[in-house]
Amino acid sequence: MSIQSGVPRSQAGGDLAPERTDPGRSGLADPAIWQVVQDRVLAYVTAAGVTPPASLELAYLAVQEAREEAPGNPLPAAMAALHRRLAGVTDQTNAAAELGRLAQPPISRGHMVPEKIDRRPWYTALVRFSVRLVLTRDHFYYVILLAMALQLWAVLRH
Amino acid sequence: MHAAPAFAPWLAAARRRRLVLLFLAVVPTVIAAGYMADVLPHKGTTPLELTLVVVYGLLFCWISVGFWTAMAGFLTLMRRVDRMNVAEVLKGQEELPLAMRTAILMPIYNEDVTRVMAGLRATYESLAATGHLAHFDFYILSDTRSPDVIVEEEAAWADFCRAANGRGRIFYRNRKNNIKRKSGNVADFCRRWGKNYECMVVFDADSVMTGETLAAMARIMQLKPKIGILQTAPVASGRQTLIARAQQFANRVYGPMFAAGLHYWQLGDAQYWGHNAMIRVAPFMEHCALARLPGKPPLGGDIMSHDFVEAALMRRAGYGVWLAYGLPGSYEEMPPTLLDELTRDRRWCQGNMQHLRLVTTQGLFPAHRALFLNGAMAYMSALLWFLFLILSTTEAIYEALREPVYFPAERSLFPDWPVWNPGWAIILLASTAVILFLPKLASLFLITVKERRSRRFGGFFRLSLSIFLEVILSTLLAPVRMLFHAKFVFVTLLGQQVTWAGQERKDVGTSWRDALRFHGSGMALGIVWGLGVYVLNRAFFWWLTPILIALFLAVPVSVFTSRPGVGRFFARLGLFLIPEEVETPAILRRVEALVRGSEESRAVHVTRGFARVVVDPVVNALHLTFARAERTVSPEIEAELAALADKALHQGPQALSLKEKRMLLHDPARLVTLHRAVWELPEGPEAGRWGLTALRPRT
Repeated sequence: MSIQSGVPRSQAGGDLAPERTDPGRSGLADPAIWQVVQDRVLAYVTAAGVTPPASLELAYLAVQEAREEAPGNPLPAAMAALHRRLAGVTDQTNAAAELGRLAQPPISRGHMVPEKIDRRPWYTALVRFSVRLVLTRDHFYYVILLAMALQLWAVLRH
Repeated sequence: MHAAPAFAPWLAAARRRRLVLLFLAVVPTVIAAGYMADVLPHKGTTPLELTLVVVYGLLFCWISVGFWTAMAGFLTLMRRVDRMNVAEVLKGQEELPLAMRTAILMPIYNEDVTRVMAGLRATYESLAATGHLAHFDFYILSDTRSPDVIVEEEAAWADFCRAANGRGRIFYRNRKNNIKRKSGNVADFCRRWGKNYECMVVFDADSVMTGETLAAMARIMQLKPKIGILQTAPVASGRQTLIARAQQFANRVYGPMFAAGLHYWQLGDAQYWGHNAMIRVAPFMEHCALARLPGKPPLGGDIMSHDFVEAALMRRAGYGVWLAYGLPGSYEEMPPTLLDELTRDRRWCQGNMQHLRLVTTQGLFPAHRALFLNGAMAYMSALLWFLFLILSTTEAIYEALREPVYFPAERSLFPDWPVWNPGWAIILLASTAVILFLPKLASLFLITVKERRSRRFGGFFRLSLSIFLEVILSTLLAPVRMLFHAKFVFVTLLGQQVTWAGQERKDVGTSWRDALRFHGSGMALGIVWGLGVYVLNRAFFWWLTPILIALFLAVPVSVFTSRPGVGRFFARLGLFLIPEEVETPAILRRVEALVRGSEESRAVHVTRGFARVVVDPVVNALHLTFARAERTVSPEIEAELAALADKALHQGPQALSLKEKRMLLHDPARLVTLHRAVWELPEGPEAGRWGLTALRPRT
């Protein structure tokens, strides 16, 4: 058993089929079934926020359609008919969908890039100084001079 | 890189004041440590005693900083005029028209939706009443992962929009990938919509702020463009349990003095506490994005206590961070139980310990380096205190067990005579007690004599009695907190990290079983420790009794203080009263009414959470607009989703795990199919699992 996504059961031929009612007990003769259909349809239009008397009219038409088209299994037929008819009605469902589209304003993209956090600046400074010492010509000369001075001092000491 | 900050006139005053604080903290510490060494039998000459003296010195220095902060606040409030107060800029500018746009952000994560929306709606209405609503937008920034809570958030947002007519002004976004937690949530807002606003106000899930306060903050930011973060000092209120009421009381009685004191030392180098603060968006986006710390959590990875770091980075960028301690109308709530407080502390502890790795970061101001250390010390002091107690117990037992050596091997004119002077110990104890308790008396003086507001705390007698009881309660709770905080520091250093969980924001009491599970080991430690010391050194035992009694009573105290009934009983007696309880501000009354109203209306809905998005056509339609566009998935996933939907249909929402619910929630097409299929279920147990048997038309 699988679900065909996006397609209601009543249209898809019953992939998500709830258990079907016993044909022997179904039909106009069983008022309990029609009570369930009536309650369910009315509950749905109420939950969808359709205001009376339009809600009653919709419910009546849906039940009527089920009665004509599928008296043996009226609930799916009634609900399918109701969904079809609700598509053209302004109810809270449509209002909610409209509101949902306003949940976020248009994006106005900006940048927020972390700056490098140097947690050991003394170490960075040491490394930078060492690199500069080797790579920068002036510093390199200073080092040579310093080494020569040290050498001279050592010679003179002896 | 950050720009060199321009010299601000307050900097010279700040430097002077901080030097004075350093002097006031260090000099008495040296004297007290010397006294401590004199109290000990060997005058601090043995390694054990030397360690004791050092630990004592650190602890004394730590509490001295708190004491002098309180005293600075006391003097500031006594003078009443503080030319450095950032709110002074508003004098004569009360009617200044607002010229900038501000976003109010409510970052949430698996929170109590009713309370969140009530707080935000009360703020919205209060702002509307000031006539400044046009300058503010509201963003509910959800990081929630629970599918049940996500559905409730969406529905509550829609209700809020409809009720407040806030379409196009109140926004909702659920982040699918909640990277970097709250700081990442706010950063995500900044990247998407930050450019639309000059400032943003960051809320916590329990924050409430009045429209006047928000407008005043916006004016300050407008008048002082070099302020990067303006933090308010929120007042804690709204809780019923005894521990929360006691903390609300402490926050309300001592809080203003401490806030004024903090402001006295910090000035433009203040802290940002992560909520109830206004932030200038452009420099925040440019300079305050948080990098990951190298290494693994808990000390590496994402920065958990992001607020302190953001304040330091904002300051490094040349913008001031100010505490508007005099601004009223900013509220928050306390954790309802001791266990909730400790759970929160576990998270904060890890975050604050991470800050130790940032202390030497290049370019930070010394004040913020000190704040990092201060934050870490808030928890490390517990470990030091515990160490101090262990060392002093060791010393006491060692002295009791060893044979005294009056004539040591080396030549000496006099015998080595171990002397323990209880008189000095009492002086030392008394001076420590003064440091701890004098600020409380100073607060009492301020409220009753200077401000003449004791009636708003239940009158002078009840206020004094409440302070006395608060001292008793905090004395009972301090050793329990010490033990937990010491453990938190220890396990953090060992590399254990915390998970991210939503915070409990309802007055739900602690059960005896939970209390025993959490405090049982501490209680056992107290008993063993007490028995050992009692047998080996009875004189020292009496010195330890305040600690031992508190540990021994931890379970009943934790349960007793978590009961809302007990808290209400104290309220009826007029104890731990705060002005917000005596005369509740309109905005807090509105929050209460909205929470009540929302809970009553929720009773109408027969389904909640995931079931609601499947059954309720309005919530279903709303959710579909939030859901991602339909995706093509592999046949395996398609089959899995189909099986899931089938399981949901026949076994009901209770049969689904959170992960399964989330998978269905993010599949709009299947959600439509499931919605229709559920409504077509025949009357019976399957329909009952979705709440359909309870649904009867209300026509």
